[in-house]
Amino acid sequence: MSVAAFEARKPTSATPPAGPTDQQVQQYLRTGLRNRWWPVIPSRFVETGGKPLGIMRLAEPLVLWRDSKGTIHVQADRCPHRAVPLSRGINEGDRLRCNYHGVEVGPDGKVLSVPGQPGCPLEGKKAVKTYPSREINGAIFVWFGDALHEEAGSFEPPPEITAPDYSSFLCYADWEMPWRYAFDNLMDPMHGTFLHANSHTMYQGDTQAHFATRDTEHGFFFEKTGQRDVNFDWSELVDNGALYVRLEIPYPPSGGPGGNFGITGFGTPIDEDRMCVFFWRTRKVSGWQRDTWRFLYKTNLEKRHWHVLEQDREMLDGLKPGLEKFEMLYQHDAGVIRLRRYLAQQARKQLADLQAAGKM
Amino acid sequence: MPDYKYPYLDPHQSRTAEPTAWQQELANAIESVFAKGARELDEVVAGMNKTRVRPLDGGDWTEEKFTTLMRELGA
Repeated sequence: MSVAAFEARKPTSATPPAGPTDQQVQQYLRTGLRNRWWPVIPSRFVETGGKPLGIMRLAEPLVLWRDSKGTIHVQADRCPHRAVPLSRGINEGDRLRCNYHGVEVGPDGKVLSVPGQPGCPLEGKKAVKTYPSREINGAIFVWFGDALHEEAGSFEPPPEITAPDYSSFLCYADWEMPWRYAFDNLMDPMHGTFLHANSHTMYQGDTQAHFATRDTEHGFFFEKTGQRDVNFDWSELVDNGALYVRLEIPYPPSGGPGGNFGITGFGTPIDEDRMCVFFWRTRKVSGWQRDTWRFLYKTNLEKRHWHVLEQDREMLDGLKPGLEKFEMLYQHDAGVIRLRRYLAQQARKQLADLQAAGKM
Repeated sequence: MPDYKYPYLDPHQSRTAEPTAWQQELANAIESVFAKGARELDEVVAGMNKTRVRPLDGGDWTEEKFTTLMRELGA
């Protein structure tokens, strides 16, 4: 290649694009990370052939409905005609009908009928965004891809919530706080000894501890050095097609045989200020021990577990984004710091790719 | 089919029905037997026979009665 030709190939601008600013990255993260599967609602709330459900997730309005065969569909909650919520319409078994002017939309987002003006150009158009969705152990998961990743990526859910040698129960709740505070809370095991000191499971253990981080293929562990199986002693962040946290906490003796219970915890942004949590409580038990745990869970344990979650919710309830600028962190917060750095890296990369592709 | 209403904050999400008074007594008795250290099935059954909670058909707890009942109630 001649020098002249080489020179001609060089970008004309002297400075490369600056990339996203920290402020842009943090703003973007307030409504979640894209290109991930996120759980949006327990399966039990959407009935076969029943009323469509309108919810907001990652600041996007969604309509969820099950067709007459029971298959779940997740679409943008806007009629393509006048953009009113389709969730205020009717599930006709194989399509949604908007109640405003009767526009009918199929499960692939195509407009099937405009009864007010048959043959109008809207008919046949794929005009409603349709999200990839799947159901995992009692929850509906949705793929939120950015403009470069509309096709769903893979997500292999963890064995704790899918494998037959584990038993589990899903606990769902709406929390009025930015989603990141719940993740910070999960990556901060030390709050267990204090906030949850008055609880059925976290009444033991040292009130001082040293922590270490340990990398894994898809995330990292944050764990107490020298204390295991006593309290909430470790957390693991996993980012593998979906973002979640795993942790274990021992039961008191009254919890019976079967060892610690685990939490596989997801937290999905509703908007900047609100979120919903999906905490599967899991236990590796079988036979009569499994059955007995399940019976005790339904009668006595579930409300005690709930009480613990309420302690978390009440501590963080109503807080708004941006507390970080008032914080003074110490060694126990290394897990939180690392989580935040990780999320910022991921968000920065997504924004940079979108910028480079001119999709911002 | 439960309805979803924001904010959803329901302490009981795993029940299909309220436990009966007897089921509640039974759960409390099992927890107390576990709390006293029973871990194996024979220990649990022996412990249950020391409580005041009887099987619905009367008589003593047996391993068969206990596991059958748990399979039903823990489904």
